[in-house]
Amino acid sequence: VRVLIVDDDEGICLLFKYMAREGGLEALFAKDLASARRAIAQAAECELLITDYTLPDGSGLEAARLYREKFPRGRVMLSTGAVEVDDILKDARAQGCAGVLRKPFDPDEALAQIQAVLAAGS
Amino acid sequence: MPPVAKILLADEDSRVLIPLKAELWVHGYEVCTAASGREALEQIIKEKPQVAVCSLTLPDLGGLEVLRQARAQRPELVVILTSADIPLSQAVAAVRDGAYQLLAKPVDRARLARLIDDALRTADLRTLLGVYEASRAVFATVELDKLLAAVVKVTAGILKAEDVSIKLSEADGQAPQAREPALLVGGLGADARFCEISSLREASSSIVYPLAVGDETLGVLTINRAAGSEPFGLADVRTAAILAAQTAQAVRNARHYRDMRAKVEELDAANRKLEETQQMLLQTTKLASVGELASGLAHELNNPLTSVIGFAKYLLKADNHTSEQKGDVERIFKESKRCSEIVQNIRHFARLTPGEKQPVPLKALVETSLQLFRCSAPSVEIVPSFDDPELRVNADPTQLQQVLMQVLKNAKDAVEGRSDSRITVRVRPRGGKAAIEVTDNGCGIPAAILSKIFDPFFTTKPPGKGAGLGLSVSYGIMNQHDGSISVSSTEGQGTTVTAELPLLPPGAAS
Repeated sequence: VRVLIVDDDEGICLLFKYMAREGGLEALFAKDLASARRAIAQAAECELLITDYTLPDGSGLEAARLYREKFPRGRVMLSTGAVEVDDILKDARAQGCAGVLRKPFDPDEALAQIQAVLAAGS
Repeated sequence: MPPVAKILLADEDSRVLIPLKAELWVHGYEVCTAASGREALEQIIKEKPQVAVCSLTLPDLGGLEVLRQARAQRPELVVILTSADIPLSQAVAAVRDGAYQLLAKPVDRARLARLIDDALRTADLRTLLGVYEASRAVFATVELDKLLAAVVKVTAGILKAEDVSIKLSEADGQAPQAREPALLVGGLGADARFCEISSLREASSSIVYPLAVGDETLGVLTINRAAGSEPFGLADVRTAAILAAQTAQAVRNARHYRDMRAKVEELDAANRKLEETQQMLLQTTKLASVGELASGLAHELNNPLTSVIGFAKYLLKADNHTSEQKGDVERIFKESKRCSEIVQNIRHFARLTPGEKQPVPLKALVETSLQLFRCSAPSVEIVPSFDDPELRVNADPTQLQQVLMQVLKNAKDAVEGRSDSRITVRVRPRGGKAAIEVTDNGCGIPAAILSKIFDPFFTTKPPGKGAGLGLSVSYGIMNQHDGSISVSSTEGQGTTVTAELPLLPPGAAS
């Protein structure tokens, strides 16, 4: 199962790498909206997008839109460290996101959440 | 028309009396006569002359004795003594006893008439001066109630009246329209204007004087003498006029004073309210800016925290380190979790938008909170009381409970170490609001830090026992609910924290 992870924080990306390894997932990484655009364009298959809500050059929702264009049946999860999440949750629901990871998260719990989303999608 | 003065002429020689009587009559005086000392005294009591002209050599009681006895009974009586021969010792005694003048016989008729005129004028002035002196202190009174009581007392004293009353137009909304004074003597019940006033029926004579200043009639002054007393004369009406004029002016002053006082108090209240609002605004602004800062800070901290927590977790999963290292990593994990909780708290604090409001029955909310709280404070006596068990407010129950739990937690910390620790929680209506008062008998809060306790990050607890956000968050929550939270405390005796919310009317929907 291939997962595209978009986050500008190196530590988070490394953590996702560990989590992917543990969960038996293949992880692709992008550090901003521009590289996410390229990664989506190049990818032949991708079942899940996990994108940070706030990217250095744009919104995670834009990454989600691009991803959906190419992979209409793919799943999207948002991650955010924001404290005021009411608006983000609303946006996420409107965009049909399957889940939101709130930072800081426990990697085990987050992985369980990711796997639940994948299980529901298949 | 000036009042007719009455003069007593007393002389043992009737030939002296006749021309004098005629002369005084021509001057417009009413004259009565006496031929002896005793008769003179009787006349003085019965006829109440203003002036007595007495011969020193009256039979049975001499002029000096008449002077003494008459003035003992009527100190205002003017006494003129006449004599053909006035020994110095008698002259001295006469002056000492208050004789107005000594005249040599044969009496010059024109001179006597002039003397009487002067004496009456002097007496008049003396009366007015007396009225003025007696009333001056009274009319300086600016408090209406005291003023009216004092006017009644002074008027009764000056006019020798049994009953004095003042009716002000504002008392019952009826404005007396009469502008003319009235002097009523006898048969008052028959007078159509006054027959309904029961107090006047008992009186033998009354003066009813309007209290007027300019065009404004403020009320009426009624002065009554009981049956059996001498009826009022025109001189009394004049005195009443002075008293009424002064009373009217003083009443108006008192009313102005009262209005001014009310305005000053209103202004004071407005000032206090303004100060409170400023304080609240300051606190809110402080909260809002710190909230913004905290929100940004929390966002920034969440990424590194995710890494710290996440990698600590992965390190814990590895089995290639010593037990000491494992302990260290566990510590990293635990402490970073704690950081995460602090950030979570900031999240609450930063979120100043109100939650979902709904009608909340306070009794149920307080009881639920206390149930939870009791588990954490088993040794504290907790006394809830509900003045009105039906009180409801429009609130987010979770947030309200958060406030209550925070306040209770602080109360518990304050009573820690006491053997008789007690926390009372009282819910009651107060001025259109619902008040929840949490009182502890703990250590109290020093006055110096009382003003800071709602400040964010202010805490007196040791590091790790609280970030100093609990009451700030509570303040923000109460503010969002159009309510307030305040604290009063006496060091060493305890603290009361009061949370107030607008009351939801019984039966009202949200």
